[in-house]
Amino acid sequence: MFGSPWICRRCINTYLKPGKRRLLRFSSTISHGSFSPALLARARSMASEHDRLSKETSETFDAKVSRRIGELKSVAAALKEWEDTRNSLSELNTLLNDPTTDSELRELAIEDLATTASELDTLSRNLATSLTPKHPFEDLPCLLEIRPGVGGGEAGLFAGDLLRMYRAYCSRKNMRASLLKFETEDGGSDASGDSPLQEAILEIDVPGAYGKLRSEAGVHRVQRVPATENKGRTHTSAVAVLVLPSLPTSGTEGQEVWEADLKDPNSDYYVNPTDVRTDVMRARGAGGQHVNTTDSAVRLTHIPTNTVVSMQDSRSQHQNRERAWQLLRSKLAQARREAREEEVARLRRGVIGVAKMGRGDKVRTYNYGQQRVTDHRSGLSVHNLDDVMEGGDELDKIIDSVKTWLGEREIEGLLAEDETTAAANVTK
Amino acid sequence: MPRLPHSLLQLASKKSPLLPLVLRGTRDLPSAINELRWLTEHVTATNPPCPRFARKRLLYLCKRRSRAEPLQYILGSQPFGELDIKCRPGVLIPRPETEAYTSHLAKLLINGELDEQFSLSSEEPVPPFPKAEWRGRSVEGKLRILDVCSGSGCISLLLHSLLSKSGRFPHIKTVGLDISPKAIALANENLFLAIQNKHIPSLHFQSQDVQLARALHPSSSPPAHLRGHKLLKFLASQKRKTEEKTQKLQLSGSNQPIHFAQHNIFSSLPKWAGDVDIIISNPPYISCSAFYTSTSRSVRKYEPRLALVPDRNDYGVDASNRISRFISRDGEESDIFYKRLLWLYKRGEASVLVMEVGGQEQALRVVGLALKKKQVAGRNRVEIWRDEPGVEAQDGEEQFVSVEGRVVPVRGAGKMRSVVLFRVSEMVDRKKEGVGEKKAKNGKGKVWNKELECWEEKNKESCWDVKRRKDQEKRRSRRQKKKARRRGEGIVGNASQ
Ligand SMILES: C[S@@+](CC[C@H](N)C(=O)[O-])C[C@H]1O[C@@H](n2cnc3c(N)ncnc32)[C@H](O)[C@@H]1O
Repeated sequence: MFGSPWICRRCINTYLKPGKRRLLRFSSTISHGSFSPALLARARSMASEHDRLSKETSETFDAKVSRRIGELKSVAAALKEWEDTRNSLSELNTLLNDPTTDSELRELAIEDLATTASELDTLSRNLATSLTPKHPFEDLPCLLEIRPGVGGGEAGLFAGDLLRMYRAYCSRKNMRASLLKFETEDGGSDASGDSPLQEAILEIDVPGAYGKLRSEAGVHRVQRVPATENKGRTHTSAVAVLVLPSLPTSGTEGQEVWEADLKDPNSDYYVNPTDVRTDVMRARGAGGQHVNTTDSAVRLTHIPTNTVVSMQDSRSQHQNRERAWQLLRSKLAQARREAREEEVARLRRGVIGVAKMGRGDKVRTYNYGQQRVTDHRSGLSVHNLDDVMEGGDELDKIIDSVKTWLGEREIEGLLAEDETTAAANVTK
Repeated sequence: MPRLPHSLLQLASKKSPLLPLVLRGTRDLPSAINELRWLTEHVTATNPPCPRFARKRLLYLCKRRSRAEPLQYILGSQPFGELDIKCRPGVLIPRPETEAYTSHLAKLLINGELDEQFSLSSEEPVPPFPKAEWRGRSVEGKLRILDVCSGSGCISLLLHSLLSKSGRFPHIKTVGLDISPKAIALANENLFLAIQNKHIPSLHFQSQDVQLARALHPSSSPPAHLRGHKLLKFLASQKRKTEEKTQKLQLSGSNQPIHFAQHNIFSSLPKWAGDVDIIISNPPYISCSAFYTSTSRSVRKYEPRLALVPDRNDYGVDASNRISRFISRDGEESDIFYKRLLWLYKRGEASVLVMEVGGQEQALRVVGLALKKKQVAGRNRVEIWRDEPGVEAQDGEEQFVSVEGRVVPVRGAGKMRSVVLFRVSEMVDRKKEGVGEKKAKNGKGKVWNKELECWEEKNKESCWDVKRRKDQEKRRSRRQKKKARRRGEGIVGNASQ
């Protein structure tokens, strides 16, 4: 329905700047004046809801309503801009189609037409973005888990490099980050960094960190000559990165909502304590006064989902237990969210959902020989590997490119959803 | 001790050259890996950043560990619940099992599961100032705890910290007794540390008390006809009154929430010692022979035998004679502390007694000792707690045992770790002595604080660091003046009633 080419080819060519090739496919679905009618209808109804609500609240105040208004505001604004520009575009078109227009004016109009059309293109995208729902974890702090995959000790070493990269990135961005868990093969501590990493969890305790970093989840691949290799051969190994929402356990600055959610059995964040089995290391032999071992490891098992987390970093069992609970909550919340997203994706009839992305998929390659980092989703390559590994601006560039890519996928998803609902209406 | 297999040492040295040293101390690889990491962290945290010196120091510490010196003595501390307890040679290192039952007891108290025990009625809103009839005495969230054989002070400190943070027990008074001056000194250091880290409220700053005083005695608004200096005078007197009340509240009882005192529990005990609400104890319980066969090398070589093996000859001639008089010769020497504890419990008015034991055999023996005493058997619920009293029993762990014809519940998972007695209030009430006894006890509650004060004064030299003591003395002199002024009006601590 929206894919039908009802704009003349010449017209597209005049306003599509070269170099925006990647957006071509995208623009063919949302081009000037032909914004998906279903999405447009959705935007219009949201905008009218916004107007109605803001008229109502001018008399009374309600926190819930005003929050809803906040959500709708961006849609209303984007829609207005889009409509204004589209109107001026159609005015220009009537002007051009009018045989009485004199040639000078006609030339001006043609010039105007090109800029207005490209403007409309951007505005269409903005409008679509404003329609995509915000990720529910967007504003939360996050946990970033790094685990070496295939590739033996080299993978462990690269995992350590990635950890340093993210820590540097966080400190450059002024995001408070601390190690929740850090395990190496030989018990080397965090400072030295030359022993292969087994697992690390970085806690980034800043609201919105999840939204910033969620696109980092996935398999990161490295191609380089390992320090341990003496024949000079290039190895390929992989490291898995997982990004989990971090759920505040005690209410601080405006997080009362979360606290309430933690206690509500129906929320994604609720974990029933009776579903969780706790195992601690018990002393061998008689125990008690007979021995003075230092085992403080704690393992939690969420029985219904068979999710296991263990923690042994701290000498304090109490602290290990608290951290393990934090991690378990995060994992379960993420898993429940993913299940929900997959459900949505299934409803969208097989269009790749964003949820599918990440996890097992290879998302990025770090090629040391060519000093190049390529992100396989956005397709962006940068040729300053060192800056990336130091968490510098180049890493920012990559992360932003993935953000944009994700946004586009979400719009596609929305379109697909509307298409299916439209199709369903037709068959009715 | 079997030698470590060569292959294991080799595996360790492949991972890190220092690991085999630590492995000799821990005798298992995963622990060795963790301990090496903690040692490294300790060195980087406590030394100037000079890599060569740090390496040397780490090597030195690992060598000490390889000779089975406990990590807790090397690092100088052991986490215990939310607390960090200082450790030093000469005083026993706190154990995780002790932590488990101490936390469990706190949880029971906080959740109100022992309210019936203390006949705290559940209908009344309890927190933050529970007013309730507690075995005949009026108690406002008041709890007196006696920690016998307090060692590093870990039990007293954790219990006090958990209970006071819950807000349910705003007035807790804990006393710890230990024979060893080293232990008392360390316990006081640990108390100071816990107060510093805000785990335990210092009575000087207990704002709750101030608030309570304000709530109880709000200054009334001045009469309308007062003007000028008369009004000022009136306001000043109001202010003074409130302050006095506040101070009295703060000064009732002794100056600190926890008091550690050097005392041999086999010598004569002050009369009030049994008149507490909870007695908890981790006494020495390892028999002489088990000391050589079932303790680990690290325990045997480095921890004080006095804290582990009961031996009546260690406690002085008087005590040894008393023990021999009170306790028949045929019993196990390793159980002598339990007999004393049971005697103390029976004599006093405590409602809960928690005693750590060495395992199943000892647990059953101790339950037997308790049930043999008619007064104890008739008035108490007896339970055995395992290593983790809060979790479900695992397969093959029985949940009941039968001792002296009584079925005793065994709670939790792991080895049998403690014997717990709860005095049952109904059984007390059924007794005829009811009313009279209650009256007598009403008095006793007050006497407790007073006697304790005198006793603390006697003991203060051994207990308090100088800074704190000066403070205390200032307060005491003020208090005495006030006492002199208000003589005849009753006991200071009761001004609020
Ligand atoms: C097993 S330790 C318990 C220490 C501490 N409560 C804990 O749980 O870690 C036993 C303590 O009892 C003390 N002790 C031994 N004989 C004693 C006696 N006759 N009177 C009082 N305390 C004694 C020892 O000094 C030692 O500190």
